[in-house]
Amino acid sequence: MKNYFKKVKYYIHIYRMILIQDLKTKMSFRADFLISSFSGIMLNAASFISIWIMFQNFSSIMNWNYYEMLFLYGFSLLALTPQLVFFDNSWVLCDKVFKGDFITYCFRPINIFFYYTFEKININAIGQFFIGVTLITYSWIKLGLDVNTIIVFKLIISLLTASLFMIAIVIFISSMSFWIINAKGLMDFFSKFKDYTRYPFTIFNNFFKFVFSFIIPIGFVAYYPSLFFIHTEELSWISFFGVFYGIILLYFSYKVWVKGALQYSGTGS
Amino acid sequence: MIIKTGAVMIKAGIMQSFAYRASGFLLMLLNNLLYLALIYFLWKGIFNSNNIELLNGMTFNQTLLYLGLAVALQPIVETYVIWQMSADILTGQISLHIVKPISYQTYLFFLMIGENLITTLVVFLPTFVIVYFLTNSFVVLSYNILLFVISILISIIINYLVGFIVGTFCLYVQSPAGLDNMRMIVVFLLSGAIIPIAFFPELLRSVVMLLPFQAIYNAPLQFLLSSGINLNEIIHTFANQLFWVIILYGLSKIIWSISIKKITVNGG
Repeated sequence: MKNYFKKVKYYIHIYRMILIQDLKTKMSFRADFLISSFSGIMLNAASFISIWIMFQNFSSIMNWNYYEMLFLYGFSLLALTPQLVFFDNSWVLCDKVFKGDFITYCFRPINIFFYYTFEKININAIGQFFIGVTLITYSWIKLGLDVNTIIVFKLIISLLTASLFMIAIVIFISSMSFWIINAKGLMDFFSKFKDYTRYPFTIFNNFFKFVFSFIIPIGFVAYYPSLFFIHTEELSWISFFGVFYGIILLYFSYKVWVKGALQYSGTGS
Repeated sequence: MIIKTGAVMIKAGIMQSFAYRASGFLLMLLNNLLYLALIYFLWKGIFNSNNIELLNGMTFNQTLLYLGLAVALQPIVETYVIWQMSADILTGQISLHIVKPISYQTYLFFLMIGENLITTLVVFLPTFVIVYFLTNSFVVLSYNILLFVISILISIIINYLVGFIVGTFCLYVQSPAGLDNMRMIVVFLLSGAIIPIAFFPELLRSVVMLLPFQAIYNAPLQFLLSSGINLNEIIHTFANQLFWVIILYGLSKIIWSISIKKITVNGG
């Protein structure tokens, strides 16, 4: 047990060292940092404006009103933030594997997944976190929902479990680059799915509901966990199931990633 | 002369896009189809749950056609010129391009045409056919198809010029991802590719109509939406599109000639 704590402490120390190095690199490209942050804020502003424009024309989508849609959108922004901030390096895994740069990670005396994944941090995505918090708070007040310790605790737990799904998807898809040569197309393909998370899933027919719940589990990013707070009449066992499903998927995709990394033989360059 | 060089450049573009594997095209198509499914269910939900037949003068089929075709058109109209420019600037290749007898802007344009030619065939056509059937063969296939095609050709030029102007800023800041994202957000939102411009509130709509972006997606789509379009509207749309081509072309030339003086090539 004591050994275990020592290991955790060691990894936290390593993480801090890696982070400082990465931030130093980022600071030397200040204009790029500003432009990337600004484009991220613009993207969220545009999505907000499009929801606003839509609701100028009608009052609800499948009985979900404007503020409920904003809640859903804010929830999805927050649940997607951990993946964006801490797992940014996964998006370029296919390039590194393809070009052979990945071999450098194979020689480190620490967990290869840990070192590769947490080598980079995408701090400009933190803007999204604040937009998400603002949207949830705003819609929470407008919807007149209760505020107490239990419900805030519930919100944090459901956000944390919801965030596991996108992380698991990205880890799993990026690990495909160990077997497929052109995994980049696959990554682009799956990166689009985050836009699908911000709609009430009652719009879909049963086939798509099934696909988006169990095969590409994006329903658990915002819709199913939001039902704990709003539209509780749509709440079913699936939302409770999501809490455990995320952990299972994350563990599974981690195992696949490590399996792929261990059989990686480089490009010989 | 220009046609001959153009043909060579287009061929180079086609070759470049072949580097993208067949699986890449398939995923692009699949992506389009999934997005079509999303807008189909979303707008069907909106129309059905609110019990409306007509929203701002548009029926469900018209809305689906408009948004579906905006997606289908993306492989034709979209441009990766910013990435190309950024790569040329970063590697120093640009110093070779600017001394060539063909202007850098023309060179990139033909390259883009070549690249998009393939995606048009393998991504646009299948998506178009599916949109056609999804909207119950709603499109009237008559002379308006011709107007639609001409209008798209102008859209390609407008979108390319917007991309080139934004790409010029890569000479100042190396941030192609940020710049291209910003361009895409502005173009998609203000051209009606996400929500039809007819749905915009009065004030916003009148502002948007004064901007060049509506000439990219909204203008050609209007030709397919209504079968009985009158001569006045046709002239007005084309005049508006050509106006923006001239303005943006002039602007891109000015910005480029000012910026190119600031160029620093690392090693090269």
